[in-house]
Amino acid sequence: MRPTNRNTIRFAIVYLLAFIFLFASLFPIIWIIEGSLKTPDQNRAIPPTWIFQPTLEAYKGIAPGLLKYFSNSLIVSSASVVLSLMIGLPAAYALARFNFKQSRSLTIWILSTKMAPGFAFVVPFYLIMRALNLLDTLIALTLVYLTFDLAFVVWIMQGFVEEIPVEIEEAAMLDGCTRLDVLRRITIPLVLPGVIVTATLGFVASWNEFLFAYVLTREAAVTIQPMIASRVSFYKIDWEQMCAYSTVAMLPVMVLSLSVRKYLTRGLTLGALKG
Amino acid sequence: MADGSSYLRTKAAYFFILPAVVTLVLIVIYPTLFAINASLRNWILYRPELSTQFIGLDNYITIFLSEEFWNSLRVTLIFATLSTGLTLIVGLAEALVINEIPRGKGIMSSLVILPLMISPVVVAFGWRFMYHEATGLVTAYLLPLIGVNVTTILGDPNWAILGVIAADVWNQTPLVFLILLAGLTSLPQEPFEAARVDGASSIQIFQHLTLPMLRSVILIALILRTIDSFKVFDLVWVMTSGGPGTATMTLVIAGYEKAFIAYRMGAASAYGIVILYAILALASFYIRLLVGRRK
Repeated sequence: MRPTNRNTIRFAIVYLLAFIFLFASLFPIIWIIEGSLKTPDQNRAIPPTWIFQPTLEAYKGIAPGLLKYFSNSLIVSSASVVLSLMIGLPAAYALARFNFKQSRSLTIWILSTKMAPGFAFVVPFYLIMRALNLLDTLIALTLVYLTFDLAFVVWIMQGFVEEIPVEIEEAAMLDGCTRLDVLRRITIPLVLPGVIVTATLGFVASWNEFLFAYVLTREAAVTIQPMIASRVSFYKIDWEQMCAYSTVAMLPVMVLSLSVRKYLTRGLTLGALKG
Repeated sequence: MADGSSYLRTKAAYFFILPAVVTLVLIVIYPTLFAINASLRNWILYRPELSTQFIGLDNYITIFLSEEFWNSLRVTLIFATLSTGLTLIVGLAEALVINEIPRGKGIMSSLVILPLMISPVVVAFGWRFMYHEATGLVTAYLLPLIGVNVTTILGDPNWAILGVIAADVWNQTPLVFLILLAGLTSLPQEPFEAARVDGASSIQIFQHLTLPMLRSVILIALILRTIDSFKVFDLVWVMTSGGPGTATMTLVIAGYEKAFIAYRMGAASAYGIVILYAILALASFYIRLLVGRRK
């Protein structure tokens, strides 16, 4: 066999396998979205209906009331991301740039916080928020989400800052810039992709969070995840509407991830592998 | 750096770090101390007359003497072992395949990691939808197609844990994929070229070059996944709530039921502290690996 032929076959196999992985990764997502556009009969048909006339009935059914859960999720996720960036970015910069005695133990502390199980905090937070009369408020949820968002911002942004050669900053300072000038004109523009991906991942983590939201909210502050979860546990599930709720919960996250996709894989990898 | 005195530099550093440290003390250290304190008390929410009486280590002793704890530890270990193992195998295969793609690697990676972005609650619902007894895609169509007949997956004590693990593997494989793909792309090319020139087969190259060189990233993925699967709650809670019986009762679900079904806050706090220490012990391996890589 000529080498070119062998390469063609090799690539054909590689692409075939890659598409199998792609199909397996996307199929359940597509199945949920399809389920939201089908009629109850189509959703219950065996063998399954592959081609069908989409209907928006399920979305009409969930539209009233959806806004509350959606905006609660949006407010809490955005607020916790903005807060954690405001508090976390300076810390990440300092840990990356200054060499001081406690920087190593601080890094380890922040990393441990990032790994710690939410359950260890959910009981004390429930009791604390109950005592403060903050149960079922968006403020409580935002503050609690800082536990993972903040640690995440510091950890991952430290990696992004470390990737910028310190010489660039030094040169600017030799030219008479103050540290604040350097930050504003050089460092921040250079780490901007990192900030975007960090904000995205922080937003996604808060948007998807369930345990705290489930425990700390009752009525007014319920976000989209506990709302979906409480409906799944109903004895009789309305599959079409549940698929529609799930689609509404997935879409913002998928659109966000795909729109920053150039940086996303790097951000995720850095988060796990930075060292 | 334009060599300011180290004193000035240190002062600036504290100024930058202080807000983060103060926040973390308030939202991490304080709740941890609160939980440790609560774990030493008989704190039952619907019995205020007991007024959070101090009982020493009783809650911990009760946990370690209870069958419930050991069962949930067993369930968690089964879940963690199978889920971690399977995500590693599938993720490794996926990374090896996608690393070989000559064109479209970027877009392919962004698409196959989408499951990781989806909340465990939605994942749990989606798989319940596919596992539905009479009409679900998996139970009523795919499994019979390959000759397996099960009437129910999540309702059967033996199948339930496997059903939950399958959903978790789908959800979490992308993380392993990303870590291993990063490892693969950073490997030096020369040894592979040399091996090919010497006529080594693909399997030999994989076994004697790729795997050993990926060892440290595989180890990182392994520990990260183990930690994550010890923490599992959302997915299992929405799929089975720990049932049928106690077949999928993981550690966190057992603790959750102590807290928010029995309202025994002292006992639940003790569960939380036990889980926290178990995870921190695992995490210290991971941290040591990362800090070792740094330098």
